[in-house]
Amino acid sequence: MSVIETYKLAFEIAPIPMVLAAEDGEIVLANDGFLDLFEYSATDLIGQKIEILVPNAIRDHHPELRSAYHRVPTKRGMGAGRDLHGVTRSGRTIPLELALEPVVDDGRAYALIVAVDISQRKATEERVHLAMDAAASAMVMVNVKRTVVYANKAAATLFGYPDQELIGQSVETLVPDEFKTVHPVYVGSYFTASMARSMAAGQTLYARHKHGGQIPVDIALTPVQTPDEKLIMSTIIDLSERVAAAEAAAIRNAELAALNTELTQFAYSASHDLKAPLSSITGLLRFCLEDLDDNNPEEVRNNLLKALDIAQRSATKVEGVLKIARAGQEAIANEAVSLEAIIQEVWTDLTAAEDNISLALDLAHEGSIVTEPPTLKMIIENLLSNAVRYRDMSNPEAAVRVTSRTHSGDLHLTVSDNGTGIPEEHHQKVFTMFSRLDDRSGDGLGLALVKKQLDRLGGQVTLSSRVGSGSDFTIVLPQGGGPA
Amino acid sequence: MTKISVVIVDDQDVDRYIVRRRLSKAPEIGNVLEASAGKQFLEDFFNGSGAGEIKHPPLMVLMDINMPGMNGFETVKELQRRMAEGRGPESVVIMMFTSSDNPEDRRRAEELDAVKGFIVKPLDDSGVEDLLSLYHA
Repeated sequence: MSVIETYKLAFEIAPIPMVLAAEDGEIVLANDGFLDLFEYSATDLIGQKIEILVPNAIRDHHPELRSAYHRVPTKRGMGAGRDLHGVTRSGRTIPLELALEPVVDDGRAYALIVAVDISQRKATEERVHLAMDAAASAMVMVNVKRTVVYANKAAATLFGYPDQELIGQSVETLVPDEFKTVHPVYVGSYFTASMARSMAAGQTLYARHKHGGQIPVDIALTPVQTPDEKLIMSTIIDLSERVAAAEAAAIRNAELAALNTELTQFAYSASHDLKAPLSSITGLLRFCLEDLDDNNPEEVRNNLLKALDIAQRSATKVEGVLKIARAGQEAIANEAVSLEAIIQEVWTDLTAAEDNISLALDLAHEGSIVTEPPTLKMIIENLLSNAVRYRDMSNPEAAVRVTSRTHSGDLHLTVSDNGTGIPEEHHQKVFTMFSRLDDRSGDGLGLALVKKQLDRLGGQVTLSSRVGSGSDFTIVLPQGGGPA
Repeated sequence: MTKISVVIVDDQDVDRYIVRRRLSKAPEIGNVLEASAGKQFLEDFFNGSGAGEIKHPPLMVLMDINMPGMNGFETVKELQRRMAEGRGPESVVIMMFTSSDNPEDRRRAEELDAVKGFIVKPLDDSGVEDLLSLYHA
């Protein structure tokens, strides 16, 4: 009995669809199950080329695949991952899983093909995929070979891939470079001891976006046992927003802490500098009462005048503090200003009664300066009046120089003097409220206001100075007017 | 009885005037001297000569905290350094003297060995009593 005869018997009793095809593609045997599946009768199918059962798309290509198989005939078992289709007589395409077994009889090579209709399984899979696609969280299903079996739409969107593109790729595609080597080990361990858990409890995980960026994520792992194989379902929650919100909150907290420190500083300064005049006035008024009782009107008058003077100076000081507090609260329109005109005007007012200090201008900024005119004038007033106030009295050639340049759209304005200079340890302090370096200082509010206004306009003020050789105060101010 | 010599270190003329006038009524107080800045005070009294003669009773110093240049605390620290080198009176009693009853300032005052008290401005008659009892404590 030839092998074919033997197979014929086996075919008839086999419960699954089977076909025997010769090397040239001729169908030699087909059992009832196979004929039913493809809607043929035995007479219609036997003797036909196997290619009539192959979908159009690869039909022309199929003889080539077939002869390739026969050059190196090997047993091929059923298994996932080979997505094949057959065409029935009526033209219906059915998903198949195929097993191939080489057979030789009488010097002729055959292939024994077992075909299983997986329409049902495909339909179930399809339903699962539809459900996954409907989920808002990104989900990626991975098999034991770490191949992505399915990635839902949310996952494709999160990781920046077109739909379906992730399917078939290694899951390490989604793992940041620094974990690519260890990740397979983790996956292996999970397959041997699977239980639903989070991927790395307590740690922030990152996934790799298609374009290489990292996305902070939280990943829950669930083992899934399908009829065919064990899979891992990863549910991925995008933490970008949460992380961004946490970062924003941290920045806000730091700002609040800085503000709080500033407020404490202010309260301390205010307790000294704003309360001091009131203490003095209280002391003077007590004398006044005592002197009234002693009938000493001259002394009463003297002390009242002193108290009055302190009260007036104190009111000016409070006004100065309020100016700092209010800086930026009233809208001031931006206008194009003439730097030179402002400097000359301020200088004339400052040095009306002085003739022993000179001003030199080196103005070479580019384009126009559009800013709040009164604010810029206030800044220049403070810098120039400091330069005049702290001049070196022993130097007969006291000089102030104002330099302007434009760098990257910012005005850089430097007021330099050859005055007494400021010791290094006071360089930061000079910009804080009420800091007075010596008895030439005013209320200690001028530079604090300059700094506050420049902060508000997106600029800055810096100091470079050495005792004995003068000071350079440089302001940087956006020429376009600063942030709206 | 030898009267107590006092130095008022304060940048405000009015505040020095108030102290001087209050102290003038206290029989225990003798010479009242003034300095308008920490630096000047140190130069006048802790320059290694002259003031070393003030031996007994110890010199009383009323030290304002908030002054331009060296503030009261900085001045006291430098004073302690100079005293350790023997460049001033043998003993001084320092009272920090300020318009602000600030807990932070009280804490800083307590940290300085030479500071014996903390008096809030303006000085009145009961403040003078406090000064004297702190001085003798």
